[in-house]
Amino acid sequence: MFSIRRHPVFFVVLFAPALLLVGGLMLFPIVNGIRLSFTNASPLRAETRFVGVENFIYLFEDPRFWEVLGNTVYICGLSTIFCTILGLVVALLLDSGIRFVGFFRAAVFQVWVVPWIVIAILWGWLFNDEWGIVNQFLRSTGIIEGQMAWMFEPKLAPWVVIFAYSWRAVPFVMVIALAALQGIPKEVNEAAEIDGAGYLNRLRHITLPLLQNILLVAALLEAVRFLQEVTIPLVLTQGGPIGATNVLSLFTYKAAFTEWDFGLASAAGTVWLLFVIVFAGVYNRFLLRKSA
Amino acid sequence: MSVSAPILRRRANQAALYLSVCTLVLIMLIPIGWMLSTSFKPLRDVFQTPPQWIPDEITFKNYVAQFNEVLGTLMLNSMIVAVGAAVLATFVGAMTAYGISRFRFKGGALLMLFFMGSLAFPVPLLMISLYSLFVKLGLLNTYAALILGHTAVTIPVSIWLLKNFFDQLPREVEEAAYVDGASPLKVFLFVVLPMARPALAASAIFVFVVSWNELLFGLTFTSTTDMRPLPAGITLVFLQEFEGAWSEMMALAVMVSIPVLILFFFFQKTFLRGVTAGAVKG
Amino acid sequence: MKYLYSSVLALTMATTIPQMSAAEDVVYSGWLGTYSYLEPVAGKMEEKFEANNPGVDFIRQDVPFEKALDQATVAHLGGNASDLIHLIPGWVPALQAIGGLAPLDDLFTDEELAQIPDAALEALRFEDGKLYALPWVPGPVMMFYNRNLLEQAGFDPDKPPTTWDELKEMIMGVCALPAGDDGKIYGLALRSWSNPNAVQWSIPWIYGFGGDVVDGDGNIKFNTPETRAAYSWLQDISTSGCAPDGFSVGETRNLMASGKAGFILEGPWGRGLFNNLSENTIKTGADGDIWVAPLPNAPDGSHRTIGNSHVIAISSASKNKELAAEFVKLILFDQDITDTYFELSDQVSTPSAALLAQGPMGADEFTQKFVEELQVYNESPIKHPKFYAILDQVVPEYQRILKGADIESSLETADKQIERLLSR
Repeated sequence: MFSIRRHPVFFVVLFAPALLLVGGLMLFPIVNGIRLSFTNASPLRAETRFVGVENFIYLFEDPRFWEVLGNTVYICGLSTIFCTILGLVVALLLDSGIRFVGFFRAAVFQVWVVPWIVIAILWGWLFNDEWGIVNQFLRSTGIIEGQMAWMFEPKLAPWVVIFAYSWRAVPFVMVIALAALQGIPKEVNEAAEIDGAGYLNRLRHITLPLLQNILLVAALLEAVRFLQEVTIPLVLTQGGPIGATNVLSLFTYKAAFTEWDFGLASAAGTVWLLFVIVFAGVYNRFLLRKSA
Repeated sequence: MSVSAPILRRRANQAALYLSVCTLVLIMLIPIGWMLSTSFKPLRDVFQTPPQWIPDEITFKNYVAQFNEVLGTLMLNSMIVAVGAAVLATFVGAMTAYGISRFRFKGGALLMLFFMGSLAFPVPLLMISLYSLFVKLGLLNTYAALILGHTAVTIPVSIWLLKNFFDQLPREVEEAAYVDGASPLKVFLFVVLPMARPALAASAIFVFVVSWNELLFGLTFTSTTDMRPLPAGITLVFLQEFEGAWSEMMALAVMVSIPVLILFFFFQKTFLRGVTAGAVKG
Repeated sequence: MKYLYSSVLALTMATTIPQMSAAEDVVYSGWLGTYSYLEPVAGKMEEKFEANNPGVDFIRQDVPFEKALDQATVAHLGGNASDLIHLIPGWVPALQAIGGLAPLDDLFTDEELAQIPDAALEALRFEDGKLYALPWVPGPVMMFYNRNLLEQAGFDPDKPPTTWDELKEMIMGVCALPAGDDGKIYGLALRSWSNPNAVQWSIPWIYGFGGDVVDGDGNIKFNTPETRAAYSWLQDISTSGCAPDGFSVGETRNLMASGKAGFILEGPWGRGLFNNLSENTIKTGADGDIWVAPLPNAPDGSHRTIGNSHVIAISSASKNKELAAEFVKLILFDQDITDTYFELSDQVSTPSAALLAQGPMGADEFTQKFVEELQVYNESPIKHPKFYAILDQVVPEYQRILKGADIESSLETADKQIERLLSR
């Protein structure tokens, strides 16, 4: 271990670039963004003035903003739950003593690098009304007749987004869960097996409690990533139909860079930031601690 | 009866296990498979019912149609930006990670918490100030704006990956170098970094993938085709002209995925080791 | 050391590739080059312009239509605006409001401006009395209809509908035709995706019912009797499944080009577009597969249509405004260029009345149909910098209406949202 007193120059050399980058490109923008949320800043306006909490009042008076918040929680929440459960299931199957684990893991993991823009294009094709393979499958099994307009039904469109998000994130959760599973000492499970505990019992009383924290962290990371994600709503659904896939990231981006209303966009971004902080705090307090 | 009942049951279980793993993995891969299948079909075969997984007639026309100057420029732009960001974020991340790992000082843990917390900073909110900043610095519509932006949003993960690696790295080699009288900076550059190659690669791959993927910065901080990275370029240039030509669209999608898929094909093990080592530990 | 050296080198290379910008460049940004069939036109313009102005380099910056305004705004605010900006009238106010456009009155002579119809110029004149863009490719909107489908449905393809009831009857009739091998046949290729231009494409119907989206005092208002009537008419068609669900502009065009829709609204670019999309299997002509007709008259007998024109503007940041103006003169008034543009794209390629009456355009029946409509066309009615944001407020309500929601309350919500937006 180095001490700062003995190696002051080395300390500065190591930390200066990152602090400069993160300070200039993350800390300053976030603080400045919060400041802007109390102004009417806009590149279309010559003068910026302080407007207090006007932007926040405007946002919360808008029924559509509440819809946006609802959509965000719905889409990101369900996606997080699905990808965590599915990722865990795949990991458990792969850890059940079968062979070719590396091959299967590699096959699934390829999904994690498919670019979002590709997913946006691909999903448009999979869920196409007339020729999409999803509708063809549903028609052949007799679940639907004719066409089902996935992108024009406010009840269906969010699910198109949720499928995309969950699909893309399963590999990440799987890899983390699999690594954690492989880290559980074999003796623990073997001892339980000798005591006559069945698979499900072992899963419930031994494996899952051991995995709980790492899974919860992975879920939190995915939830935060889903909040940031914007390609699918922006390119595939454009926030529609009837605003059903308009999420906070798209709303904030559009307010800033198509309406050029920096003040309002900053306010929406600040609400988002507060939401994340409060959520992470609560999550940490009630979920993570309990198991520790 | 040469096989007893429990063994039979075990075999049946095993078969069921393999079956369910294969089914799940196949379901996961359906979208990619369908993308590949469509991309090799002539357009008229695309609209067949029932859908055909193996095309009757395999054509490479859809791919050939993608070889044009615009896509080449977009690919090159993305490549420059992604490599630039990967190098910058990884190198700076390694310095910071080493500092946090090796220096005894109050606030190290807090600093780490801040870095990780910054992952949750709303990107559009950051972009508002970055936009004005880049305008002032004259960086709008340059590779630098994109490289800096992508570095900023990926450096926390880079630091985290590398810190976990440095924490686990045995100190003996470093200490031997100090005994020989080398300065800390030299030890870091010539002893520690070479040992950290797997972790550096994991970090660089991560940054590369994120940068290859990133849409908003590309859409907002560039305004000409010769600077635009792929996702923004595709949104702006290709999606408009392509409507209806699904086989060509899928060929484009495959081509856009190929660089990252190849990267992953070769470096998957290294990457996974880097990620999971950190993840499982903390 | 090798590692450090190479990373520093890569970084330096990545960040210092200079942006080329010589003084004698004229940069155009627009969507001309994003359509393959228009690219030769752009090539010819470049060639002739560079020949007329030796030493000048013409650079084409391709921006797709959908993003042209955003990108022009980004470019201007970022200090790298193109000299020439290709726009539609509805976007001009947004760029003018941020000081992005140069006034054009002094760059053109009175004779030159006199060739352009007054109504078209007025739409581009602002409160300060100055012109900030010039009409380039006028786009009065008409109905394109599939003659074969009309005939199959038992209507006379030579007698297009002249009243709204007739039009609805024909749409429903075509819609009732059995689906072909390649899918369902729609009566009307209506745009209803989640994008402001879906609402923009609903304005011709509002005009058709004698309404407007701007009232006498210049306030934007959707909840009017005429708009309600127009939307109710569209609602009947949509809820009976005779219009596709949530289709974008491109998707509706594909529908029309593949013979799967009875009617669609387009400007003069329609013929070239459908030729191109159908790989020349669909013929547009009075006795072909597709032909054009004006929208029916309003109940009070009045008739007007919207102009979805292309305009060309010069950036306020242009270092070479005279040179840029030379290019504008070339594309608007050079018969060689306008005829080539017409021949390659089938568009009404100039606002100049004189040029429209002669040459290949004067002899073309299709073009003359649109020239007639030029008498009654208005450019985009909303002259506001937040034009698209305003339409964006209407999008969800418009989609709701097309799905059968109550029209009056939906439009009331839309107006309230617009009012909120404009209060900022």
